[in-house]
Amino acid sequence: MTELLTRPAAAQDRPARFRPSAAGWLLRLVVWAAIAYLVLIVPLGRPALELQDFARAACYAIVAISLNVLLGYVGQISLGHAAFVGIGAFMSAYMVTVQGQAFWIGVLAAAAIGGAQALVLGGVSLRIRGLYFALVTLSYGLVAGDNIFQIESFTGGGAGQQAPKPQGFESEWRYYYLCLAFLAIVLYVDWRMMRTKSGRALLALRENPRVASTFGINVRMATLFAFVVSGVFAGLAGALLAHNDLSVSATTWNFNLSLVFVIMTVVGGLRSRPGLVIGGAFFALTPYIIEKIPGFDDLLVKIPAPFDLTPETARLVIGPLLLLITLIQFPGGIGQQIRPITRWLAGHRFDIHDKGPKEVQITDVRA
Amino acid sequence: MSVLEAYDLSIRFGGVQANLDVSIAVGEYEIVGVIGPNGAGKTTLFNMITGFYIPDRGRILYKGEEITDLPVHERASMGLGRTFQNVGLVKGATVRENLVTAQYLQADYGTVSGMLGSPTSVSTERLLRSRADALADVLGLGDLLDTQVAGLPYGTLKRIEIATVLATDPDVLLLDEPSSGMGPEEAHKLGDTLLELRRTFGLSIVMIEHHVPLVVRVCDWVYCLDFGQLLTAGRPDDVRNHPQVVAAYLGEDPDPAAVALTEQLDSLIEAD
Repeated sequence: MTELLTRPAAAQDRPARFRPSAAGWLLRLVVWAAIAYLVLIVPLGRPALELQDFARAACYAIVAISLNVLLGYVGQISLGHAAFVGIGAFMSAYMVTVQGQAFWIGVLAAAAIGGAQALVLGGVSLRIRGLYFALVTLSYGLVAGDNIFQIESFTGGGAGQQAPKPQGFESEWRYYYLCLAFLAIVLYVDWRMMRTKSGRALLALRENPRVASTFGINVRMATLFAFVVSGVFAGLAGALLAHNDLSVSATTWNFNLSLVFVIMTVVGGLRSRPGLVIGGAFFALTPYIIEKIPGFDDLLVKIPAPFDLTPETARLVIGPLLLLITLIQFPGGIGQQIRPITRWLAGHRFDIHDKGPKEVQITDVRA
Repeated sequence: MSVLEAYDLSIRFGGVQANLDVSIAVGEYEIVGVIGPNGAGKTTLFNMITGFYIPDRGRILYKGEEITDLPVHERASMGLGRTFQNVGLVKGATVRENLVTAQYLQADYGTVSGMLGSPTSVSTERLLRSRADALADVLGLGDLLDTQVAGLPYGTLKRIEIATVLATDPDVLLLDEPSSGMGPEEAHKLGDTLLELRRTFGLSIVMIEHHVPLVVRVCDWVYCLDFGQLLTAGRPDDVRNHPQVVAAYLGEDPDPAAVALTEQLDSLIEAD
């Protein structure tokens, strides 16, 4: 292109970017430190069993980011994400227990098979979209649960597969940190992706594939790429979940779990990383939180319901309620609500009315 | 020498022959207008040239290379840029994000290296952003860079769209009704912009346009389509006064015999 385009932008004409004062930075630093303290230090004081719950929260956050790639970036819904995650869990457990490989090999294999199966479903998504694609993923989840996860040599059948903690991370708190590290990597990759051409290509083609193709974007390849990214994240989360629980069984990866995954992603907030992490962690910790509220257990039993309400099933009641509120009142989920705070933490001016230039529309959450 | 040539393009949708044996040629640095009444098949012609439709018959050559069957994104990477009748922009994004997204082909780094944040990708991204700013200034959009596209006035959207298509670094620009939604003054300024863009970027431009003064001012050559067929082609002034073109736009003079018959009937009714 001509030199017209390579000359530096007329930056001096535009208002200078907001920079917080020294006190402002200090205040932000204090809040950051408080968050770090809450995430890194506080859990260490808890019993080992609870640390397992916290590690699961980190894994669910990865799942939420994985599902967000499909739901938030590509605009396709997956009702079979439990199978995406489950296949990663079984792969890692199989590699470690049956093949006697190291944990890292197991994680790599889980990520690879997660990406491979997502690629196949991505191929399907190029042909059918919307509700019908949701049905395909739903049946894929059911088929996986009834068939793939019943292969005795791969999954250990009804007894499940053993998945020991990796060497050097045997203790609960070390494994918790390992999960946090993986979450940090996934967050970084997702952040980089959305700031580079591949992420922008996804956003463009979600809104208007015709326009995206005139930008020179290969719409098919970009869609498949997004599915692979989502599948790799899901497989990774599966491997981490497997070794967190020390064993994997086929019954875990059912349709209920897929529903919880979708709900936590939407409630957390599409295209908002902080929201997704909070949403994922909240739904992973729902049983834990319910147990922590004194007397809530007894209350649950007294509520007349078509099925027994336990802390585990309670999220299938809380979830849809939150989903309803989200869809009607706050389509951007938790992420949209906390945006003033996250923007402030990132060094911008505090603006309570800042709901973001890309306010999530209800139509985004289309089935 | 022609940059873009189309020979005998024909396409049929069910019972409608949308284009029949349409041939056009666009020379280097030429601004070519495509006019014709609504439903004449102008946008269909654009869709075949840019690859959204594959013609039933005919060939399209771009810089001497056959591109008749290539997918849209490959044609875009060869330097064919287009705008849409109903504004082709990512509405949920800001103007700057649109301009950066459109530079997809200039982002010269691998997907994975971008995801891992390699130094090349970071510096390229910075370059893309400054190019976006420069382009926005060229089209007088500097103040709108951080504004979300959705909600801006239609005429402004059309200008943003031209900026984004320029960001794809095209050699040939296909504009689908660039002046729609603009007032006469804005349309006149658009004409200045187009002439200037041709000069600075060395572009060839094909445009579908209804605004006759604009066509007459900027176009070197005009094709007129009607009912999917080429009615006539020539210099803007000749085409404008061509009797068939006038007829296609305004309708023909009524048949004298029919007029006499109507008058006769009218008088009969009055006599009753």
